[in-house]
Amino acid sequence: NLQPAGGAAAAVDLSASVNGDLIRRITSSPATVKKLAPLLPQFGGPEVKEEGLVKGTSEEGCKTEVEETLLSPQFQHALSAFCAAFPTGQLGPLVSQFGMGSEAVNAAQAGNLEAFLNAIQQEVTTASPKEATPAAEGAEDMNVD
Amino acid sequence: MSEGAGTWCLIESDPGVFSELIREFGVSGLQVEELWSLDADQFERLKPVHGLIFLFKWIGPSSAEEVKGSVVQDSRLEKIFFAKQVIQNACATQAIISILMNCEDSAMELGPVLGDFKEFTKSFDPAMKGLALSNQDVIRSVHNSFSRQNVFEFDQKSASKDDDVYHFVTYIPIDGRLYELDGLKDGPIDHGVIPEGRDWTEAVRPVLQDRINKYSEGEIHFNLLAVISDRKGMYERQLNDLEARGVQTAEVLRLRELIEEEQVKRNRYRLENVRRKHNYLPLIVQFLKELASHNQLLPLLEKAKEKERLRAEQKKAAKS
Repeated sequence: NLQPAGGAAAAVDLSASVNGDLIRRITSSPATVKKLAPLLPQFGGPEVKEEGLVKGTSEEGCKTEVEETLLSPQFQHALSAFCAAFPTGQLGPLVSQFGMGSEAVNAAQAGNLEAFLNAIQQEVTTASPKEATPAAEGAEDMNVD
Repeated sequence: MSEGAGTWCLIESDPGVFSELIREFGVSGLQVEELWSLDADQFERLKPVHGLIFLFKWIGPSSAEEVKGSVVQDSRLEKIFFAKQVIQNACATQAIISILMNCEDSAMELGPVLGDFKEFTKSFDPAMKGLALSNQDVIRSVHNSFSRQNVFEFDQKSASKDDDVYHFVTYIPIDGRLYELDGLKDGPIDHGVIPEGRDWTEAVRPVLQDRINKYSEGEIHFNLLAVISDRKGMYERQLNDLEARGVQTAEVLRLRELIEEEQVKRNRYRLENVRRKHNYLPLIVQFLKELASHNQLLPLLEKAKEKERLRAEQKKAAKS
């Protein structure tokens, strides 16, 4: 197994390896964009929209906004802070609000990022056949399963 | 550090953050711009400049830090607002407050929060002023709302990988003299008379250059922000003036363009600040799940681990 013997792993920063290539690999799926879009920062105010800073609600616009947000220094910083905070175990109670399975929640409480990510992968893989197929429609090379 | 003063978060040194920060303090008529160099034309385009905030990595008091100019200890202290810094992370706010409290520009309105605070602390000594500042709820909560990571309120000390300390100091003209206000010093530092008929920024440039030269050998990060008059308001007044006189010249077009530019900039600041203040936790969790459903999560973890391993090895190699 991948889990280190000593429990909490050394601090690993995922944000350092998040780049445009990786982001585009997941935003090529409309289902993914649809799930991420509502969680982006919401920009209010008609002036802001007029300036073309907000890409609108079209599918293409949503995709651009998701990509721009995930690549923004602010998101990268948040992801980095998330990884840095993880080993403290203090994110456990927060993470448990997101409908995670017990294995993921336990890993979060123990502050083990690696076990947490493995648990997410496990959950998604077991749950995916129904959910992910529509997204993969017409894109066989997407490795959904 | 004072126990009662609550937590102050680190904020970024960015013109958008500072411009909105002062607006949320209730101050009007000012904005903040970044300077990229000490060239004269950089200052020229921003005139009138009311104060400068200089940010640098703090390397502790060293020989390079010997004080130039003299520390003010006379009756001028009654007039100059100077607060000792009691909370480390508050220094960005402390620097901007130092300018706001000492600025006498007629276009600036301090607003009720800072106006009351100025009145309230008038007779306090610098240490008491610093303490009062760190305990001011509105100032603290506005400051903290600009922290990028208030989602993760965990013990920073156990996880912080970056021990760099940044420090902000203020330069400002008061009654024809140039002062440096640094909350870590014992008082305002007097850099002397500003020559008659010259803009004060001409006097501050060599002082800053001197300071930067002293650090240039080590890798030190600098940043310079200028507090200036609100451009949009200024252009609008000029435009109204021209239009009232029925003038239709290239100047009118130029002003319209400048107003437009300022508006675009403000919108960008707002967008960045919305991004800064957003709670990213739900997005992060969903992002991880989406990576997993595209089988990209564990490869990403492996890459990150590899990077960490390389970093650790380099660190080890550097040590031995």
